[in-house]
Amino acid sequence: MAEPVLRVEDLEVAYATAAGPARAVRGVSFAVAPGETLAIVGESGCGKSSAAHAVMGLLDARRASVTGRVQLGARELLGASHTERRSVRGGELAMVFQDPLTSLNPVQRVGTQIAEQLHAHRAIGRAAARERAVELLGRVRIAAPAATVDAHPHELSGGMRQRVMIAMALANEPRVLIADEPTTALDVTIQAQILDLLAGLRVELGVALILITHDLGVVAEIADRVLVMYAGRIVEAGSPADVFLDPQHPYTWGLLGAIPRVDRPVAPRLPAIAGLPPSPLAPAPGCPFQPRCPHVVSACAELPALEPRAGAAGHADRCVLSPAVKRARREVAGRIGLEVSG
Amino acid sequence: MATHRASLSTLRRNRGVVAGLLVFGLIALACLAAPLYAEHVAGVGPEANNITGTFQRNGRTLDVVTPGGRPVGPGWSRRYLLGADRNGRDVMVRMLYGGRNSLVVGIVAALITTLLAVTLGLLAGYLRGWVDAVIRGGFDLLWSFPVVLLAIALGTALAIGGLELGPVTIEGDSLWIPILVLGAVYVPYLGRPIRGQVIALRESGWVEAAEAQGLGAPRIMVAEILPNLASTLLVFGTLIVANNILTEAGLSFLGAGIQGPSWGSIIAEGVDRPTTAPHLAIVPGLAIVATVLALNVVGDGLRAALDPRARVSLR
Amino acid sequence: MRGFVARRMAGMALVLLAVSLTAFLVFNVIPGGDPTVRIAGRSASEQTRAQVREDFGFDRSYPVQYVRLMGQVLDGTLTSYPDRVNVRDEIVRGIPATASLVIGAAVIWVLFGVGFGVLSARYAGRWPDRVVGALAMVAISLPVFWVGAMLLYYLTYRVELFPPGGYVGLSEDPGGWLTHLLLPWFTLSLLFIGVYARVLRTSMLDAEHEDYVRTARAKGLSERRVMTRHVLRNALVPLVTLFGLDFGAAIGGGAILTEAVFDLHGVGQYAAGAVDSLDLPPVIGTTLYAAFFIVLMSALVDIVYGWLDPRVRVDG
Repeated sequence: MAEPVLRVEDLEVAYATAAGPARAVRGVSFAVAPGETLAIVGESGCGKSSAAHAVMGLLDARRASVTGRVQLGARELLGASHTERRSVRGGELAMVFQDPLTSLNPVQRVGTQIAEQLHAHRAIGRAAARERAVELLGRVRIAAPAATVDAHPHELSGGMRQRVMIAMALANEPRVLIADEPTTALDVTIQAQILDLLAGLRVELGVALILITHDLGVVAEIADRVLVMYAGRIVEAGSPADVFLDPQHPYTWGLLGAIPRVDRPVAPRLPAIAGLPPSPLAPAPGCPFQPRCPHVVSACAELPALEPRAGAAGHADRCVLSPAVKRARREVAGRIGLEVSG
Repeated sequence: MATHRASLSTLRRNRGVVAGLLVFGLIALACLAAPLYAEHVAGVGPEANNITGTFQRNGRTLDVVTPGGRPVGPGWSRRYLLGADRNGRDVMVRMLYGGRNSLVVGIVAALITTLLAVTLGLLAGYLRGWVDAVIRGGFDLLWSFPVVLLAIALGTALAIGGLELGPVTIEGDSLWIPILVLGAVYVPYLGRPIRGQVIALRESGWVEAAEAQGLGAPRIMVAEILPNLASTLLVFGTLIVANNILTEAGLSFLGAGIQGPSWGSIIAEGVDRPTTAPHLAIVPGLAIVATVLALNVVGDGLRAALDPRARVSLR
Repeated sequence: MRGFVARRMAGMALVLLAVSLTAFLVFNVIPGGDPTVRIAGRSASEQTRAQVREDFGFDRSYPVQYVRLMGQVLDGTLTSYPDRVNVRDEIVRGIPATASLVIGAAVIWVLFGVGFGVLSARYAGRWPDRVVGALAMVAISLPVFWVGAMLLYYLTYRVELFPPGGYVGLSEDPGGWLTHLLLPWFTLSLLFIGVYARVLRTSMLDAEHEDYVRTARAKGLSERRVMTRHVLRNALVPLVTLFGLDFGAAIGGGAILTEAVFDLHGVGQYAAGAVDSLDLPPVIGTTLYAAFFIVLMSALVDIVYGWLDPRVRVDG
């Protein structure tokens, strides 16, 4: 991989709760190269959003403790001062959130909100800022940017609002753009458009994109690499081809198996992974997936390392079963899935 | 229900709330025992004039009211514990009876407000349509009148001639006049949030489910929606009683409230000539502050325990 | 926006109509006893009573009575029979005092209420918040008239720091105007400061958890800018509504208790005096005057709210 623009090492996030620390992210490491799209997938509560917020520095220090290393270029972010972090946030490192309706200030015009981000990071006049806002709106393919710039968020459709959020994030030419479930709140038809837009921007601007989602279809479309997270840990990492066609971890099998297929006969029940994710308050030792895994063995009691086992150097996972066993076990009723135990 | 149990223990741990309940309880008990005090301790009733009399305090004989018109102040004696007013009446006895009046008015009026507000709010929020339009219009209309002025105006108008509504006749100086006035005037204050909450509940899926099951509107309103209003009612209930006590005191101060002893009217007597009888103005005020503060603390604690995200909205 | 304003104005007119009808019901229809006696006063002569019966139409049907009453109100002929004064004139005479009291107090309570509210929110959970919270609780538990009475007793009688009540016109004597109003301002604003501080604190803490505040931080804005342009800006909106209603009620004579205690001879005190002597026409007059202001402020508040929160304008 080319020199990474963002490198995260051993990131740990724990929230202070009345019942003790809730460990949402437990030792996550990854890197993103310029122009690369990294997708982080996992079910709700697996820690992917927490990791993103931690990288951005959006977690309240009184409520969450963040340890590890986050390097943007040559700069270490986690130990840096507030001012330093602020200069990076919204500048080189930008984020787009899930619900554009609630994520935009309802009483401010969208142009003003974009301009605000410009003013925060560079010396620029009001007229120039407004011009740039219009230009950015055009860049995200909004039809009438000069008219839209004076609109309020509630006057725009969901898709347009998300484009505004993206435009805002791009205002200061970021090197890394984190998109936290950018299409989840949108209609399926709009989803495709937004994804196209993100993919296109990546090529045009060379920005590294970290896409957080629980939608595997989205991942297959535009990701260069995929991280599968479970209970605060990465359980599998690799290219979409690796992860979807040759998945190594039982949790991934379960995710893939749960996707309804149109090219097969309809099953009487939609396959689901039995059980619930572990509570972040009482993390058990060993592989976090043990309680729900039908293929658990005694070796699972010790947390397997994240390392390539299937042969491809870029494809790593945390399951100690041999590749041959995995290949055999992951086929359920003619497709990849997780056999329901018991 | 599990949440309620958890909230109850949080409540008990909140020292402010416990203290508030204790204070209010003590005051209420004392006022309830007014007749007992009057008979066994002070030996006089609240209206017993005694301008020319004398009494014993600390071995000395004191004039109840000096020839110059100055009533005796508070001191440690069985009679006139809190001093006397210009008519020679025992202030402590009047305080207790007045407190009883104020509390009765405050609480009963709050009950009436709650009854009316819940009924109207439920009907308006659940049935929507023209019922809602009419009730909401009624709320807006009533709320257009300034509370104090309306209460005064009503109190005055009704005090002169009493109330005649069909077969019901109420005398002008009955305690029911201020009760009904206060009860009616605050209906929009509670009715609007209730209506809002009912609408929100109605929009939530499970009411539709109940309707689909074939349950009739009245049954849904009473059995399903009403229990959910409980926490709102509890919080608002204490606040309304506190508010009523303050408003009633103000009304009585002006002469448009309770036509008997009341903390507000005693203050009015003291304010006329504070130079000669300051204790008449000071003491009842402290009683009011203590009572209302206790209720507010309890209300606040209830709100925090039962629903920390509840918005006590005024619209 | 203009359509929105027009709609609200029309609504206002309707409400005023309803208010007048209600006032009529409350004062003439519902109470028992002879309305003539109620209006004319207990010790009125037979001649006065006849006059009253004529002016108010008590020998006619209710609709006629309503029209007669409104007629008197609208062309300012509503009179107080025992005192023989014109109600409208008396109300107008009381306006400067009421306005001075309410506007001055309003400035104070908004400044301090918002100030303490922001302070509380900023230091939420720590000692400044607790102190302000406790003080606010006490402030809202104090009877306004008692506070006034205590201030009068201790600061004007025991120690002659301030004049003992009364109102001095601004044009006559600005210094006197000020010293006479300081205590009343303090008394009236105390309660509101307590309420506003608490409401703003809640409002700000709620706003802080909104998604758009997170976006503002993600944009790299300074904490100060996030607090003012995003949190406070949105948190102030419910306060504006509240202020409009409170101000309207106060200027409509709702400051009746403060005026009475400090002997300011404003509109509120005029109403109070009428209540004391059980004189109904001034009570009717002042009630309608008060309702007018509340309805006016309510409509204004809606309009301002629409300006502040563009989302509201859409559905008017």
